[in-house]
Amino acid sequence: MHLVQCESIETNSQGAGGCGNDIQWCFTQVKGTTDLDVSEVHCGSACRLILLSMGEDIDTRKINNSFLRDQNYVTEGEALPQLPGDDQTGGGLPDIRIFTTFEERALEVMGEVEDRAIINAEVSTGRKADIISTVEFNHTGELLATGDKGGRVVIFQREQETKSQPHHQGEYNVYSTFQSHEPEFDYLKSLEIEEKINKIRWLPQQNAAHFLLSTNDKTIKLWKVSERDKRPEGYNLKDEEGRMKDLSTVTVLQVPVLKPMDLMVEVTPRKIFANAHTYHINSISVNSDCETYMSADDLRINLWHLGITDRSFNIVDIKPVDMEELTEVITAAEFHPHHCNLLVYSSSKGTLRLCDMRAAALCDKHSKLFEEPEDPSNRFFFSEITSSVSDVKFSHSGRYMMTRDYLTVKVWDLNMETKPIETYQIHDYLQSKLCSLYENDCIFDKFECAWNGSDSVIMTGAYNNFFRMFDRNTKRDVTLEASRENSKPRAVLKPRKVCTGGKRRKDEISVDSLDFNKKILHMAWHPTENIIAVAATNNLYIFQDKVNSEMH
Amino acid sequence: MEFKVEAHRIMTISLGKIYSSRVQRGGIKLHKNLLVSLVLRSARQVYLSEQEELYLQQQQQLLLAQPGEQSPETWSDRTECEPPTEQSPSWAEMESNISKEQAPSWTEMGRTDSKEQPASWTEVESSGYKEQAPSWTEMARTDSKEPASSWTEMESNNPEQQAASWTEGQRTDCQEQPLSRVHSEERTDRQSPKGLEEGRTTREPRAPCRAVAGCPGRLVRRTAREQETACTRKRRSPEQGAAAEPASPLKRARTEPVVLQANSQSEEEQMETSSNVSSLINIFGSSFSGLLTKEESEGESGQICCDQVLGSMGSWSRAIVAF
Repeated sequence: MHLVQCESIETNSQGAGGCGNDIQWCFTQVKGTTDLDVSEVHCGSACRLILLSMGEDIDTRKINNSFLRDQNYVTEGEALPQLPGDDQTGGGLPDIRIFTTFEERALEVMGEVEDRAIINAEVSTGRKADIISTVEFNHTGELLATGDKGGRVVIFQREQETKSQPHHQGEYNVYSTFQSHEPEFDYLKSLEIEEKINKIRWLPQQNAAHFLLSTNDKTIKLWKVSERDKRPEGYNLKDEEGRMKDLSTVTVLQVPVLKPMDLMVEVTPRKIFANAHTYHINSISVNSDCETYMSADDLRINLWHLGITDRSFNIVDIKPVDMEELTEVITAAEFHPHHCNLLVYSSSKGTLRLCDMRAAALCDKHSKLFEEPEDPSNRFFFSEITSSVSDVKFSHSGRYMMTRDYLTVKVWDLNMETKPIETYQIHDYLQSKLCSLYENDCIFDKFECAWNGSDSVIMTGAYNNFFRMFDRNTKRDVTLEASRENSKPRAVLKPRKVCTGGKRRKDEISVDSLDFNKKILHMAWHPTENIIAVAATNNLYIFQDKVNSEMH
Repeated sequence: MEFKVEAHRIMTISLGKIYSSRVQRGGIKLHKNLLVSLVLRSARQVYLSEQEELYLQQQQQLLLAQPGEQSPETWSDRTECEPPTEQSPSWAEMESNISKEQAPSWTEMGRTDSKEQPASWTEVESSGYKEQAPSWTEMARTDSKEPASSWTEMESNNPEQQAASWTEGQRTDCQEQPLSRVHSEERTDRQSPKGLEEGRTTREPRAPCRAVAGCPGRLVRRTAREQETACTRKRRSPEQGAAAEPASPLKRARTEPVVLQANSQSEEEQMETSSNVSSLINIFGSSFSGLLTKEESEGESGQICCDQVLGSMGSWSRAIVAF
């Protein structure tokens, strides 16, 4: 096994660090209802939203009403220098005003300090439906889509550069929100089908509209996201409000003209691909031919045409005749970015299979099998679980692919099946804790991984809201944290370190004090720039590199 | 040793996970349940291999404790066989030894259905039998009437009574200290009646001849399976080539008084075993019923049980197949 030894970034006096040509990652935005992780919510607990004003206005909350029907999605804006006495524990509150949100759930206490508003929001419960379950940039990086456990999809759009508000360059604001999937009930099997969005994949843009596929456990939907900024006016038969005109009043015929209107984003379901999967869908992947896509569940992979909903082709089927002989399941699948005939799927045994659709209609027989021989000395109770691949991603070049299992990330060269070319230990210190992680189900967490645009840096998540980046060229790595405490705009993220044994240094965190409820499972990297979106339970963090954010 | 406790704990947790996955929202997650069943299987393997190791350890200890023994102690646990010369006083001891050996092996094996153990017992027994053949014929001559019937009678008795007669061994003085220690260790996690411990400590080091050892060996092998099947096992032991079993009248006399402690002890084991299995039954429905039925089977029955377990672990998949 080729283990890449990564040296940790030395923290300099300013505490800045990064990797990938020494990128310094800066916090840009965080989007979420509250600061609380739903996993640790208890009634009446207080959290803090730092809401910072831009100018003289006192209440500068930007509450986007256009979306989620039942919550406020507060966007944090420009940073102001911190006032003395403003620490993380919630300060004093000179003034108290209480009001409720439109669903009468939140209790907000506002304290006004000069020109800044610090809002302490007490929420009754954190909602499990807010947990983000997938994050995906589109092909240009202009749009960022997130899906959550409640079946909703929120699309963010990057603001264009304008001279008037230089500080808001490159920020992502809510573009649209819609309810993609609803909970369903399968009456035949007496099963409830969760509405949680498992994956979102964008289609390459072919016209003015954007298309994305979203899927839950059983059903895939194709959505069209389009803008409307003009509307026709001057109908002959209808008046401005849409009521029918009294025909006697119509004296002159006019041709309706398109007049500009406020931008409206419409999201409509164009196709619904249903009833093709017996087991839970875990991946979807759009083919490079832009006409077909595949959906993979635990035992089968189906090939669809984007325009045809009433049938799909089954291309991989690993279901054994006798289910009692089941030994492995499909955990992730993806099409090759350039070759429309190649796809790869990973299994729970830690193997990857590359299939060529030209070889046969049913790709049960793999063309290449990527498997690293298991080290027999490592066998223990949980080695089968930790070797199960949770995510597989092709590099942008198509030459490499990356797999994530519980403890490592492996980079494979498509030309070499015997072993990965690089292996990165993510949190090896958990080896000794596998039993307790098994008990609390954390060992089943499915982490995702991401390539950067140039395939030189890979990123993946871990516990305690840590995420790690590895530079494949310099062999340096960094551990960063996504937390509200570090969330001052354009604050450079300080590298974190987990102390594995012996003496714990000042800034280090010991393994035992890691919070296993705070996990970063889903993330995405902008296709071309150094912008990352990291989902920490119910909050979405957006980080940019320092160079990037200063330019705008 | 700690692996065994750990393995058992993991098995319990795994079963709990499988059970709770059936009621969670969204249906059974195939991947997670597959992984849990794999963990369950490997934990079971470790657990059972620990059992076997412990047995081997005990045998080693026995060998060390009684260097003068000629009996094939390797094949049975705590077999203390006297040279065949001592016959008359040894009947009582034989009987008590038989029962003693049964009960401890009950306690050790009560909860496991092992694949590995039948294998080891078989080979051990075969070696034991070869040596016993001459002594069997000896015994046969001196045996009382209807040795087979005596066995049958014993068979008809509950395993509890077998254990009961074992505790009679309390009367004999036995200094099998290391063994009892081992036993008490194993039973730390169970409520062991005091009498049991005492009984063990009073085991007679001087054992009757190997002839008797042959029977307990087979009995011990049977203890590798479910307790309820013990009766059927004994039924077969005379058929399997053992000649007249000795000490039947004595045994009959001894099996009469049923010691409550032994009863409760074996009941405990029964309960522990059955609770473990019944939980599996609850989860997997009828597929597991084979584990509790009193079926006649050879040493491979342990294997059959295992296959049932393994098969039943996939039986939940059958439920999914119904999708």
